[in-house]
Amino acid sequence: MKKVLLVGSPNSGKSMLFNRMTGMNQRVANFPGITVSTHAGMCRDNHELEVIDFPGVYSLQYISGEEEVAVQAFNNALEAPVGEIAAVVCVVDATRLEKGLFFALQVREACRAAGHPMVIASNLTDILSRHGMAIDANGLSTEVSVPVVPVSARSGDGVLALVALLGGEMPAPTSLLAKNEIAVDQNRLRNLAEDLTQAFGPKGDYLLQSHNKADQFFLNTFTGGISFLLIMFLLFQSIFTWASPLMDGVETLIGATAEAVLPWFDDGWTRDFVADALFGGLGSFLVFVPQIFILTMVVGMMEDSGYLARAAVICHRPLRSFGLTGKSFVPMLSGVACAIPGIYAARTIESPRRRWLTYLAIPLMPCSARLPVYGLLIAAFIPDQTVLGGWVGLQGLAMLFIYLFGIVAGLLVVAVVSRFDDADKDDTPFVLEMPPYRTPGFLTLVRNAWERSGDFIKRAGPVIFWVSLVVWVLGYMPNYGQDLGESWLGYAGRLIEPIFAPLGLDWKYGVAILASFLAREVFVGTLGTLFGIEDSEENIGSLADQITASGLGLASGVAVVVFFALASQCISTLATLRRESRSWRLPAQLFVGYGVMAYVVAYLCYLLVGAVV
Amino acid sequence: MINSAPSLWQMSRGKSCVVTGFDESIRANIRMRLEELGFHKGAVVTCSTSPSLGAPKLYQVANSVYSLEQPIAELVQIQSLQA
Repeated sequence: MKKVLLVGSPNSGKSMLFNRMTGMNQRVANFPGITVSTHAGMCRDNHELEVIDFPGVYSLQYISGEEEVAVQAFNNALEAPVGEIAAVVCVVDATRLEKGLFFALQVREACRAAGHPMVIASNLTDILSRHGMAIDANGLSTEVSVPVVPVSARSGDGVLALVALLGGEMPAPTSLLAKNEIAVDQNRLRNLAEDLTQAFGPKGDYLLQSHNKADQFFLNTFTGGISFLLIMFLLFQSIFTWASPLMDGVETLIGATAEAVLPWFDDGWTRDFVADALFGGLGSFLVFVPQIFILTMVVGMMEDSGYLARAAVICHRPLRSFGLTGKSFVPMLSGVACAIPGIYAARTIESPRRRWLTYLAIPLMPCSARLPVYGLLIAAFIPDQTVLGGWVGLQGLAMLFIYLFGIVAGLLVVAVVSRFDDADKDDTPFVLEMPPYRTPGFLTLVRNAWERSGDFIKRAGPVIFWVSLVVWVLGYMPNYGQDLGESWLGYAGRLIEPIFAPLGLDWKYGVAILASFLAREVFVGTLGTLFGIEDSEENIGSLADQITASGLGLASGVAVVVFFALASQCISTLATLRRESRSWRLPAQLFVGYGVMAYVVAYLCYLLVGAVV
Repeated sequence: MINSAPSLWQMSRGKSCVVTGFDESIRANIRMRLEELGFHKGAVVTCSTSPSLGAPKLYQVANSVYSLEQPIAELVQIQSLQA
């Protein structure tokens, strides 16, 4: 089986061509911390060909560690013996030929040196022909001594011709691009790319004109601002409102499955394990999958349409002052619903450093899992009264302050960390190519969202399972679930009581905080169990009364809120961070660092409120 | 007619210029990437969009449009072109 190496610049439609050639559905991109993200698949129209897709790069001269890995992987592949590689296919965007040709000429030189055949796939020709434009493929091919095949990965036009060409024998490019020269430097390649584009590229700038008009609207101070707010509103709606019925559906499905399965077990530890650890622990994690699915679809829509790049431009300046980038906005916004989809959305940030800083901010965004905790403590300590003529409710105001506290804390932490870090060292500058506006393909969006959701379950699920198991065993033993207070978890609560005592919290709160490390909202349920209230999630009022009756002061309540706002005790988030960064280092640092910060700030708030009240 | 203008960042929307060089403080890898993208000496660049509030500007070079933030655009030296 011969190999076909697929290379190209970002946004050239390379991954779409890979999917078209192999029938696969890989989402290919440069991701942070990943050694190299290559994908391989058998060509569905010629089983003698294995197509290998390399991450998109602008140049074979890398400027970042991430690009270096991708380029080195390609260079290593070129070291294969002559005859093993059917051809290197360099995908260029025909609508932006000059940029693609510069890279293609670099690849041509690499192929010439290695002795491998090469083909230029001129992609997106369907868009050109829709506007009455075309490239002179034959003329270009003659000039660079490499076959040039016009294709449309989207429609499939020309792909069979490309595969047929790859199935035959092709010579490697041998002639020099510039006459009377032993080697061709980068400046000459660039000038040649310009000349070739002038001679054989599409004539007319209709596409750029239409994009510029759209940019005048979407980046205008007034219309751009309004459309940005509207789109962000839709994004929020998708996370909170549209996903809600699906989340309820999953919850109902899990509940129904539990009801159907549990009667198979006799009363005892196995039944308790299945009910509490499997359906309780894993179930609370699976409920978030629809949210990830919807969010991935909406963010994918923004990405594919070309709007995400414009949103990044709008947000860049304010976020830059905190050390972030405009592309950090969507992940942070997503993190307000749930940190997990936010962390996934951070993949769109090319700069490893800015992406890392964004990872630091996301766990501090006030996610929906914190909402029950805040709701409980607000109900316990803030009177249900209104001010300003009944327009402003004190409890709602308190919730707003708590949310703002989390967002501001996230930005401040990132600002401080970025000051201590070497800001410019090896960082990728904010030079963002504006992709053309395109109509997103609905089926592609659904497929990507489906795969991302499945990936989320496969990667984070096992971690959640084992943590659920450990927490369940600690809470169940040694008295077989009879009394949580006398369980190992209860003992642990008493053991750590001195830690939380300075915040005015007794062992029950310690246990609830320990249990919340599985999922933050477990705090409410655990407290409900400890106070002897069933269905505490639905009986927030009763539990709030119990909390105030137990003597917990306002200062302690504020301390708990601050602790939950800052601590990064969500196992799902940590597992996802580990999956994205391919290391436990970052999640471990966040867990410890934010835990210490949460405790210290909570203690200071406890002292401050105690002194004032 | 060519007038001297210090940097790409100072261009307003719709104006074109020729890249004349780079500030000495620019990092070699950033300069290389800008040149690869088309911002090389002698290239004609048009500022296609200039958002307010200091947001990165959009520059059209050849058949592509790029957004450059202020610290980067200020390192590209230009001469403005007037019709």
